Amino acid sequence: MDDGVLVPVVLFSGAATYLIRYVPVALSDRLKGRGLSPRLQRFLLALGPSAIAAMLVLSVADFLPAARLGQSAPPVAVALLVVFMVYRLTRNTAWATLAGAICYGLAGWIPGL
Amino acid sequence: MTRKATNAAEPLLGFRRGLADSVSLMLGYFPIAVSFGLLAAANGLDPLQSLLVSALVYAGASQFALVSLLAAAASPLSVVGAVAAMNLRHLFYGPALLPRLSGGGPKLPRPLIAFGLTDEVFALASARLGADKGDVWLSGVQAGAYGAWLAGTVCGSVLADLGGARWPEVQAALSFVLPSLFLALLLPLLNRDTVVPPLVAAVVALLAVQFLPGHVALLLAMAAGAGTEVLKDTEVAHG
Repeated sequence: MDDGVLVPVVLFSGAATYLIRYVPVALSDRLKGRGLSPRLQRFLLALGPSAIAAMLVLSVADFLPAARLGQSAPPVAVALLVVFMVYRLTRNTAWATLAGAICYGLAGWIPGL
Repeated sequence: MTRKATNAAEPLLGFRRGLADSVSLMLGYFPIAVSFGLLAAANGLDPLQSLLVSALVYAGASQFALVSLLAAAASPLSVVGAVAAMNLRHLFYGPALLPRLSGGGPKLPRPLIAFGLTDEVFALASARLGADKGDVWLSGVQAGAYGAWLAGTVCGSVLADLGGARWPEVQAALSFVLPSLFLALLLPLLNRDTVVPPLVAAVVALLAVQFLPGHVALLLAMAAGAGTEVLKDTEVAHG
């Protein structure tokens, strides 16, 4: 791809992404001493778990096309169950993640899944 | 000596703990970055160009969009606009995390901390932040994630040259790392008192993605889930 097009787009896209992350950080740091309202604090605290749950649903949805739901759902369900089981047994995020991914990869080899 | 005091006395230890805690993120990032490297190569980017995109933009989904749009001859302005719009959800991440970083350990420059505030870093930090974790720990997490992202991008570009699309089972396993990671991060956060916001966010995401692009659905779901806490506060106040 031509550098003359790519490089400016990458530079401006990188700057835009960075500013979106940095400006609220800078503002939040400045407001730190003034204290946030309890409502805003609760909103911000709940944002993390809400984001994770939403990202989970959206990432799983990519694996479940409506036209092939019957075929695609079983390996997804089994892999998520494996994540749950391994996490319950080990309390380790990395092992649970790895186990779920391997299970999903292997599911393609198992007839009926 | 408490862990907080240890962290304050030994910044390197805090960084190493962050790096160790980022292993699950590295597992998640690496395969996606490999996919990005493969896609970028398929759209005519050489390995150095792919690395430049990953190093400077460092925002998964929008990188895929950037490369695909440029390959489709979209105008540069519209590409930058699309990338910025897709990343607007990151506006919340700093304000949500910063108050939870403990005072223990050295305070790092905010411009540095802000650079690595991606979706997954935010998710991991939200799940793991505690009284014994501060700026240095977060920088360890971010370093692990960024390193994996760059390494994966390079590997993807190299794999493309070697004909890497030939192993569908491996690709399938790699593609499922992110859902596995999100579930593994969510599980320790769920209990009777905290289940409502993620549940609402999940339902809203599921409904919204039927009609809206994924990044908009994500923003809406986050706001709806966290918004239940504001309503709860109102109910308590009125009760």
